[in-house]
Amino acid sequence: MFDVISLMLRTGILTERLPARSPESPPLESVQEDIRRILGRALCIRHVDAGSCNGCELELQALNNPYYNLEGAGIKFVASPRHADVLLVTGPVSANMEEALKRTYGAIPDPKVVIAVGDCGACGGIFGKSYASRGSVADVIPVHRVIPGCPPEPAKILAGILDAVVSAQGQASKRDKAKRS
Amino acid sequence: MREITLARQLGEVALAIAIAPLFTGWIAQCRAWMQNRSAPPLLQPYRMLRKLFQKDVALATEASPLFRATPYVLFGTMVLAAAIIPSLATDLPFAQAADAIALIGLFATARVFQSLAAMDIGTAFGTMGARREMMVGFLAEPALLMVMFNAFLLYGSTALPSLVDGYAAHPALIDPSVIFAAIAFLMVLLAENARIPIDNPATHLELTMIHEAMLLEYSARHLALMEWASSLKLFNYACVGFALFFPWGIATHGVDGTGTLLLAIVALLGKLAVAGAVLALIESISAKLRLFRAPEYLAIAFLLAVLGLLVHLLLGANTHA
Amino acid sequence: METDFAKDQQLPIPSNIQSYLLRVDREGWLRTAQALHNADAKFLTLWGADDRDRDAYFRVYAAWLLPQSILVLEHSIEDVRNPSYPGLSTIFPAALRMERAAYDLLGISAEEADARAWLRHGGWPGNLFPLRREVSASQSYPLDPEPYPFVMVEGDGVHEIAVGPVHAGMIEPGHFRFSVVGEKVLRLEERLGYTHKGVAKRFESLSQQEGHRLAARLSGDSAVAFSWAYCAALESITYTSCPPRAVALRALALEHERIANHLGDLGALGNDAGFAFGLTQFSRFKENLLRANTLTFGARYLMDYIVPGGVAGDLPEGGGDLLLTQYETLEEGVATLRSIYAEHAGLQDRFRETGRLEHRLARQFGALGLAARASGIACDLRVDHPWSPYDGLVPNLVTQPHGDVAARVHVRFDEVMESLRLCRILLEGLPAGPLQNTPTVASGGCLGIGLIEGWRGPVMVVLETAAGGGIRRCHAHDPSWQNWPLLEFAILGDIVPDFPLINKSFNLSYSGQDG
Repeated sequence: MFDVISLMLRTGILTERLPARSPESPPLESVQEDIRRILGRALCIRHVDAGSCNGCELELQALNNPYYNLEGAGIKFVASPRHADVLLVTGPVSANMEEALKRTYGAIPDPKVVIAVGDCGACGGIFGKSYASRGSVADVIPVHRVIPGCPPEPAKILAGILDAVVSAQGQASKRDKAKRS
Repeated sequence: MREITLARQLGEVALAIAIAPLFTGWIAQCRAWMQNRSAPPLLQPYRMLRKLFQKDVALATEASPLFRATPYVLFGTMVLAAAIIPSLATDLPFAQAADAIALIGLFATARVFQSLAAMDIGTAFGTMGARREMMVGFLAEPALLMVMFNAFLLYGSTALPSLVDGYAAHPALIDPSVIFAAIAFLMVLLAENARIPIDNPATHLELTMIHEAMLLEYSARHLALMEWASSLKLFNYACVGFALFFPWGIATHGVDGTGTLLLAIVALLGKLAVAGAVLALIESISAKLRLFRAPEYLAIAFLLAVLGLLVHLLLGANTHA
Repeated sequence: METDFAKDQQLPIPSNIQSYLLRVDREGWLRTAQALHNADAKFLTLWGADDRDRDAYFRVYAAWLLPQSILVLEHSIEDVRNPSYPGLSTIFPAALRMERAAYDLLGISAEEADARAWLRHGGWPGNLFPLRREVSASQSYPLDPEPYPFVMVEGDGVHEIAVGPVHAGMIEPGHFRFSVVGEKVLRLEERLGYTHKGVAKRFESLSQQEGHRLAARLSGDSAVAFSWAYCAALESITYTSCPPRAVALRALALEHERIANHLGDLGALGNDAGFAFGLTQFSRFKENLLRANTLTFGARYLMDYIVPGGVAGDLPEGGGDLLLTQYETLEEGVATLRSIYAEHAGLQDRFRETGRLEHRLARQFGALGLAARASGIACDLRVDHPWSPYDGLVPNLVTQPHGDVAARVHVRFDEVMESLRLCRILLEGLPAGPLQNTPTVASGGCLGIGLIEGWRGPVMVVLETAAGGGIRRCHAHDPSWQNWPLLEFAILGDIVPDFPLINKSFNLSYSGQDG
């Protein structure tokens, strides 16, 4: 027990502040502030592997390591689609996973955001469209945001998730404004 | 006087409802730090609850009225339990109608409804969760009862407010049976609130879930109420523990005034902070027990509580009738 | 022993490990398989090919690993309207699923009792065989799900628990059907194939020079192993030799891949037992290693690092020293964690005696790779059939006798240490020189094999070239094919909540198996 505690103490807090995504886009901290304001920084993600090679999953799992610390930003991965706000899909939607993906999508309560991660999710990647692969996720369910890469780095994925939520929220408030006016 | 007492009672219940998620958030923060990561903000559970209340409900087509009613039943029983546990003061009008045994009965009612609701949809995971919850519950209840009987032997009553008053009357009482009872109580607390080593609240493995499995089919406001009820349950257990073993600061019978009340609130927050950190530490250094060791674990808790009783009786220590 | 297999009729196949082809008829197919079984050969893979456009045959191939070489049996099937061949699963149980997959893709039947579809879940019609030459690569078909008859267990109080394909965590899709009494597992049946993306068919639209990119993406965590296997096959066919610096860098990348996967698994195993501390520490080390990968190899996951003829990039200035410091920290950290794991009573209680795969059973089912080594079977291509640069490195083979989760954890720890030692040797002796010798374009109809010890086990790529620089047939084999059926036996005697831990201790590839 004491060796565990001493290693915990020696390691210290490892979470990093993520660098700005690009010179024009606002630094990540301020995007996180936007999320804080809008969604109350309580985001639940349901991930579905729709035929990925596992590369994107490895980078998604890295989001839970102490450096990227997704939970510290108030985002967590949930087990049940009924608990989720965001559906994160990896892979080029194999024919065998089409049904499962659609059902998961249907089980997520509104409002929801769908993000396709990786080149495969974006456009089918190197697998493309075939008898066994439906191509991109957008061909099966509506997608709000795509995070390209093979596999995309965790910092990019995190930025993409935050972006997607901000813009979806922006669209929702535009709709609300239009309804009210 | 009675109106003030009633108002204070309701205020205590309202405070319990309000700060239960804060306690859960604090434990999550401590756990995060022990996992060498920066913590989500303390108020994160509130943001989660607010978001959940605003979401649409996604209900399975097979859901029965029991499924829809259970979150309210659960929340209601936990609120009722909060009303009879002396977290701030012992002048609780509601507590006259119910003692510690009734408290255990309230927890049992919650458990039964939760298990039934989990089986309602008919998925394998819900049923597995319900089955395991019942296994843990049927062993944890006797252990908890034994802890309560320990307190009865010491203070002559199973009503929690009387226990606290009894302690206040004899503050120097240190009985070895209390130590056994305290350890047993801690073990039961961990088991009943789905904490490591019995259950992992942060798990992503559907086949190992106990508590989480019963929530899989809930969404939006139902889920919010279920989560809130779980936080309240942990809060209630913590307050029972404080009442039994660390009652300093609780405003006792006949002691009035805002000063004592404020002291009670500060004491409660302080005790919660320490308890949360200790809980997080226990969770961070332990691994989860193999499921079939859970009965052994609870049997040890039961045994310790009984040992406490025996120690008390054999030593012939002072009893307070 | 090997003279039993008609040595005089064996034709050499270009490969990084000595390989031979033997053409057999129906009786020869079964007879040789039986002889191979008696000689304790290790069954590697089985695949089929559609050669009706060339010489009006279907073909079925099977490969075995012998002490000194690889032997591939080729059997030509004359009856092209109802093609069939004798199934091998009574002799080599691991062959069953591969035969079912071959039927789903090509329509060649193995005359077995179990004729359920393995890869086709209703995504294409039952009378369509996608790998046949006449089927278009880009045609897709409407979904028509079919019921899959799982084996039912009858008895008082027996329930079924169906898990998947969508799992609660971030894991690949697969279906597990448990037959349980209470928590006790009576039977587990897997149904895989959910990530089938038509890799075999896709290879045929790629050129020889780009096939390595698809091979790497068959199973993302074994990208280096697969791309190396593909490049080795192509280089053997074209008699291209890889420059020594590139060879050493390839091995370095492979060992990095091995270490990264083991670190991830060790952390995940701790987490699955409720010990999040383990996950924190190991994921921290893995992240450091991946960042070191970016600085030295140019990417975290080396999907496109190994290219035909060499590697894609060089170590930067000071890269070697950076890696050496990284290795030191890693060694120390992993050793500390190893002692923490070993002394944590709760964790050891979960690991020991859970998911026990007995040595006898592992042998019978032809286990390969890490799962086999943890059950006492000493097999590691880097030691038994070393190819360059492993022939100069002399790696130590790591085994454990007991076959439980604890044994697989020990093997991972030992292999991490061993890989770090090998990486040091590789870095210290890194030769100077060019990074790539571009291979020539191979003419059509050449067969080549690449066999590499990936982190799970032997990864095999069989390449048949087409005229004009294309690929006629490419069969990529992941060792998960052999090891998935073992999981169904390792769970027996354990309870349902132990399954995730056991599954993670094997950590088999879903995508690698599905192709």
